[in-house]
This record gives sequence, structure tokens and C-alpha cells, in this order.
Amino acid sequence: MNKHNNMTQPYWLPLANVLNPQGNKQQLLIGFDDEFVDIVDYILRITHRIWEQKNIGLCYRYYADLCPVFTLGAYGENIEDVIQGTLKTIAAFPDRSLIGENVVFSEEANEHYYSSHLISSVMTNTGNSEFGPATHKTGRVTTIADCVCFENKIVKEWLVRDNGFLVKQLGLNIINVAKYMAQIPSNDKHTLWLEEEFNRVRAIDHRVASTPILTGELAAFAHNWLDTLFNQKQFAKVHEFYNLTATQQWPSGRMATGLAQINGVFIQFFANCPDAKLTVDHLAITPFNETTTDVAIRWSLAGHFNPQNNELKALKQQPYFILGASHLRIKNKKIIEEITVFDEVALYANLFKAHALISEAQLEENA
Amino acid sequence: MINAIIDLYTKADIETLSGKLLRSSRWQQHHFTAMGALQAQPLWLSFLAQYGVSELVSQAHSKGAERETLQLVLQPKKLKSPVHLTFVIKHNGTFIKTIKCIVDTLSLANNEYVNTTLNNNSVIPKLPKSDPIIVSDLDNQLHPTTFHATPSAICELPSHIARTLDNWWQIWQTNNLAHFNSLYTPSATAILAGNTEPQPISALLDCHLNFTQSLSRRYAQLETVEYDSAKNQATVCWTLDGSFNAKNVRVRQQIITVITINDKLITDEVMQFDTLALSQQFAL
Repeated sequence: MNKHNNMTQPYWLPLANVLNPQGNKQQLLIGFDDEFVDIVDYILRITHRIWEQKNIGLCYRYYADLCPVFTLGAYGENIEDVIQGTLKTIAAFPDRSLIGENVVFSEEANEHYYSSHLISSVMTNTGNSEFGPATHKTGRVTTIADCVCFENKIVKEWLVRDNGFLVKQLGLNIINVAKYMAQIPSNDKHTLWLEEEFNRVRAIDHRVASTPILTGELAAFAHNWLDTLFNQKQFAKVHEFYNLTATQQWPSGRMATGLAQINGVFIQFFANCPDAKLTVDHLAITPFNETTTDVAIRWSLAGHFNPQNNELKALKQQPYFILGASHLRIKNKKIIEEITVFDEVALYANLFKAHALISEAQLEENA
Repeated sequence: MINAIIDLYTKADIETLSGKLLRSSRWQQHHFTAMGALQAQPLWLSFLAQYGVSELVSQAHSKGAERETLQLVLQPKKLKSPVHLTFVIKHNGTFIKTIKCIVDTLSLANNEYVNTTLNNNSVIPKLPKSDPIIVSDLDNQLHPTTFHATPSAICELPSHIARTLDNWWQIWQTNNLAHFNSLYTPSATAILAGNTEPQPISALLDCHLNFTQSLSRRYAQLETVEYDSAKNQATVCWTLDGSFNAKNVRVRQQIITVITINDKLITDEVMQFDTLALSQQFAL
């Protein structure tokens, strides 16, 4: 766990203070611009400059030329993909705010830093987007952006956004939007990545405890949380992990407080994929205050779809893969707040795409 | 903080309160979560535009370990009768992080405009679109081996207050309605959503029974409990999940209850919830 005491913590910070940090340098940040006092400051300020101030060209300064960006809906490989994606989003949602709620980070080998940035956005859909024609409605959305940073540049990124909750606020139906998105062709690298990731996760033995990728009590707790609830589905043990009034935010508007409601979220979710297996792909642990710690987890889940909605019944038993991220706030060895993010719209769009491919193949075979 | 909220409604002072919100602040009202002043201001402006600037009829304030509670009775200039607003505020003295605000929309809907030329007997509050939440179905049974929040388990309370509050919670969590007889002083009163006037405690029992008739498979969940020892007052934020019988849809009502306790007995109770927001949120 990071032990820096005076790292930037945005929880109570107004924007003016975020943009003008007064503290001393907290980390060496070799190769980074001297103005940044720590990796949290770096992430918060470059995000504001690129997306809120609309200095999209700053991507050239803060992203490496080769920068793989993984999302459940698409794959970008280089800086031009980042810039094009950013421009498209800003054109569809010109007033999008990017409010940095938290940055959980880890210091990795060879002067690399890993940041997990929890972002809330309020945005109005005034232009056509990947979801369809402009709706002119406003919504708020949660994003978690996990970045590997090296010498002032982001060199790799995993991006998860709760598009399910957003499209509902835009007055759209998640399944209809997923069908619309499924018509957009995937690039081969994205399809290949999804297949490889699915196979990687399916290969694990989910009945045995995973090996923590970090040492320490909280890393063990995080692994145990995911092993017990996600892999082994022992929902009666929810009380071992959550405080009695823990809050839980899950994609597409699943909100829960307390053990019974949280149990309900898990059971309803896993009914969609009863054979789900999960791997912990990255873990970062950062103190929030003297008594509370934040844990950021990037994870992958794979199984087979068991639709609970009749509209999706044609997709039954399709390979089901989620790129997800969770931020946990932990106090006295219990979660007091959980925010879990993945893109449920892209999840269904991928299922529709895979189903269409299979149907096409069957048609060809029959012909 | 308290004055900034009062001045919003009585002086239309939007600037002061806006300055106390961070961009990450949440203002929850009408089952909608506004982020920062950008989204909160339309809520405030809508209230001012529809009902006018208000006169402050009364205010009550209490302070717990992490949150403050403010109750306002306002007489809006455009309306004939007053309306009750309740706020539970988490702040650090400079900035507000979260506000849970319950506007009694039932009393607004039962209200009338002063200006009768509007030819409108009832006031239909203009509500923002509620958060499109999914209320998961759950096992609502109180199994002996599972764990459920109680006031004393989530808030540090003096022992005599803990017992009273835990017993009060049993009314809602386990339907122990006999506690209506044992927990309240004979002259205790309750103010319920839909009416700013104090009523006998039997009105609370009626309210409870009304919930039992409209919602099946109910589950009450505590969110926060704050206790002000100087005022012997507890503020409880909680939710009531249930299946709305008429439409077979799972719903969640957000509720704030403020309880005043003297000598282990409850003397006053205020119970506020936003009936119209619930109807809108779940298309009831």
C-alpha cells in the first residue's frame, strides 16, 4: 500500500484548488513535467486540460504514440485513435464535465505509475453519438479510467463507463441501443482481444482461492471478496465483507444500501451468468484518511449468458465477457462504499454481434 | 450552511449556496441526484418559479457526529398553505458534500395558489426526472442468522436512547406495532408527509398500515442515524423497499424521520417522504 501522507486527495477539493496545487512534491515522478506534485495531481490536471478545456491536442503531450486503450466496446491502438474518440465524444456531449472524484494509484516497477481514476460526468446529448441520434437530454455517468503512466505519458489504458445508466437517463432503452451499436463493425484486434480474454478467464480454477497480486491484509481482503462472492457465489457471506449500511453502486442504476439489498444485486446479476469466473487483473491500495482505505480493482469476468429478459433469449449461452473495475472504501475491515463500473450496453452489443456472426455462419453452412 | 439554505428560499440567494457546493457534491431531491451547483440550481429555480420566494414559518436544527439536520416550514408567497422541507447535510464547514432534501410534494399537491385567477385548485409540483434506479428483488425475511442494521449498531448512542431507537426501528423493520403503545408519551405528536400540522400518534399507525396495504414483501433499511445529545433528537435516513401491489413493480421509498426523545419516550416525530417523486420514478 502507498504510504505517502500528503498526496493530493480530491474529496473536499474545489476545482480552483485542484488546478492550483499548493503542496510540496510528494513523489519523484521521474520524466514528468516538474509542475506535477504527485501522480494524482498529474491525472486530475491533464484530464481537465484535455477534456474540459477541450485542448484535445494535448493528447500528443500526455499520451504515448503507441497507447493501447481497452474498452468493452472498442479497442484503440495509438494516439490518433485516442484523439478521434475524444473528439467524437465531445461533439456528441459538448458540455461534458469530468469531475475527478478519486484517484487510487500504485507505484510499479521501472518508474511506472498506475492510476485508477474515478470520474463523474454530467453531460447533455446534443449531437449524434454511438447510441444513436441526439436526444437533447442530460445525464450523469460514472467512469473508471485505469492508466499506466511513464515519463509524463499514458502508455496503456483500460476504460470502463456505465453507459447503461447514461442511456436510461437519455430516455433510451439499453437493449435497443445495444442492437444499434452491434451494427457498428468491430475491428479485428478488438474481436481477437475479447476472445483471448474470454479464454484466459475461463481457464482459471475458480473454486480455489486466487493468489493475491499484492501483499498485505487489504490485498488479501480484496481477493477474498471477489473469490467468495463472484467466483464461489457464497452470498450468505456478504456480511463478512460489507458494513451494515454499506452503499453499493452497480451499473445501469443498480443501487443498494445494506446487506439485504446488496445480496439482491449480486443474485440478480449473477443469474445472467451463473457460470461466471473472474480474475483480478490489477490492484491498487491508497489511504483515504486515517481510518479508511481505498482499494481499486480491475477485473475480468467470463461465462455464458443466461438472459433474464425475454428480449434477449436468442442470445442464450453466448460467451459473456465483462471488463470491469471496482473502487472500494474500507473501514474496520469492512466495505463502507463500493462503486463497480462496466459497460452493460457494450456487453449486450458484443453478444448481439457474436450471435449475428454465428447466424451468418450457419446460413452459409446450410446454403 | 444552515443560513445559506434558508436564504435560498427566503431571499432567492442562489449565489451563496452555489458557492458552498463542490462539483462533486450531491443534492438529492425528488429521488433525483443533482451533481454540483450546475444541476442543483434548476431544482432551486423551479421551486422559486413555481411557488415564489417564501416566508420562514419555523425552523428546527440538530447536529450529529457527521451530518446536520434542518427542518423548514415555509410559506411560499404564491401558495395558500405552508410546506415542509427536510435536509440532512454532510459538510466540512466550508463545503457541502451531500444533501438529502425531502420536499413534501403531497402537501404541495394538496395546496392552492393564492392567485385564484390561475384557475388551478391543486398545485402539481414540477419534478425532475428521477434517477432510473433498479431496485433488486431480495429475500426480505429476517433470518436469525443474517445481519440487519439497527440504530445502535450504526451510531454511537447513550444506552437509554439506543434502546428506544432500536425498539422504534422494530416498528418498521419487524412490524412490531405494539411499540406504538409503549414508546410514545400519551401526548406525543407526529408530523407526516402531506400535513404540516402535528397529529396524534395514531396517524403514524395509519401511515404504517397504509404502507402494508400498498406494498408487499417490504424491507426497511437504515442508511444513516445521527443523534444530537443537546436536543435529544435523532435523525434517521432510511428506505422502504416493497413490491407495489397494484402494478407488481419493486419500488424504494426514501424516508427521513426526526425523533425527539425525553425520558426514554418519544415526544415528537416527523416523518417525511416524497410521494409524488416515488410515483414518477416507478410510473405508479
